Amino acid sequence: MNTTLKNIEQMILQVGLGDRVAFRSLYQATSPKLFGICIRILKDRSEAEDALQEVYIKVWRAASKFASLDSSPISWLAAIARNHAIDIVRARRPDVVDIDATEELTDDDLDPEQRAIGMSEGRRIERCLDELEAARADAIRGAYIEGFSYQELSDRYDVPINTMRTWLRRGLAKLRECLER
Amino acid sequence: MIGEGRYWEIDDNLVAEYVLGTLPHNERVAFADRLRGDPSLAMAVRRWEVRLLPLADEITPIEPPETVYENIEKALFTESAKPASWWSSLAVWQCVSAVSLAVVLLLGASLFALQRAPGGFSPTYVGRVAGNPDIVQLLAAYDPGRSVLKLNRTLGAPGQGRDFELWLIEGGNSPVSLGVLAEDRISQISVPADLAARMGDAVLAISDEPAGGSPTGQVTGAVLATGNLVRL
Repeated sequence: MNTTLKNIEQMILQVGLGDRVAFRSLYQATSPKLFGICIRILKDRSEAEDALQEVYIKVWRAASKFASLDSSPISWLAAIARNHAIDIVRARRPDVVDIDATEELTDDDLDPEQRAIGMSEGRRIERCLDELEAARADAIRGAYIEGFSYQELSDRYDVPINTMRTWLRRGLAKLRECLER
Repeated sequence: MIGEGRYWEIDDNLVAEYVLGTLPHNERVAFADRLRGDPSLAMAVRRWEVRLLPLADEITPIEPPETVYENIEKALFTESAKPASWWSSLAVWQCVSAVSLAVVLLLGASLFALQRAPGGFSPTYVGRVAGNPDIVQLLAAYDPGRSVLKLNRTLGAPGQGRDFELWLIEGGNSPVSLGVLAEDRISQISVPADLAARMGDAVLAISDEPAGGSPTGQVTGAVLATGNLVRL
């Protein structure tokens, strides 16, 4: 773990003890990234500002429950921001996808391929996404970064919504299989 | 168990959809509910969050305007920014808890009187639960008509991976749990019917327990504070 990550972890632990100075430092170090995440998902600057405010209020309250053992500090923070922003957009445009109508996953979707070793995590996930069909990999990226719903993805790729859900579920299973190789 | 592996397989796909964010609203809400009470599901969520995090690399950081942090500080640290409620006013309670129970009663009586709106919370018992050393301190008000116990934690927070648990101790009986203290400073507990009648004569106690509360149903950690309710 590099110095910055170590510092951020330390800051979160301090915030968990009610340290307001550490809270300000944590905000200064991480708010541009979390603001970027909120803007990409909400697509509205002023809404993203409100969301960012709520996100850091949650960070302050949840910091005492942060356990460095089961999470990385950045993924913990990013998850709070993404969850908050996605909750907003999902509640705004609820879509309904019937889980029973999606096709079952089969083991055929999990063919092992070449080992991906000696790569950074970022390059590794790119490599694993490259093993998927381009459209499915793009759909996963779009869902993560832009917060697209199944409805939006199905419009974008012009496939029925249930097919889109099957695509993504298979894609994610394959991605996990590749990342754990 | 037959089919267990398959169950987990399907579950992890659902976890992935939740973390990716594509889960439809109704399923997302239901999943988040399950998540709160299921540590192993929470671990599976953490693993997917870490797996997908590199996708965030291409999100450009953007400096937020100064006002955002100012608003956060206002919301978190300025009591006056909150809607005026005497019960939530930490300043009032810290002041109260610094002095004697007699003052709690005196001030409590007048403050509670203000609250006696028809159908509202109208406590007839108040008390302070504290210890020596003062690690956690709680002010409690109980409305026997509604069996509602309102709590204001004026001091202390549980350690990492720990929770404070509130107990009712009556005479020589074993303590009965009233539940784990909420993370929020202000909280309330609906007292079960079988305990409601005993609140007036009982001692309240707070113990330090593993997260989620005592695994045995009895006090397992240190008792940090005690106090009883007094009739107004």
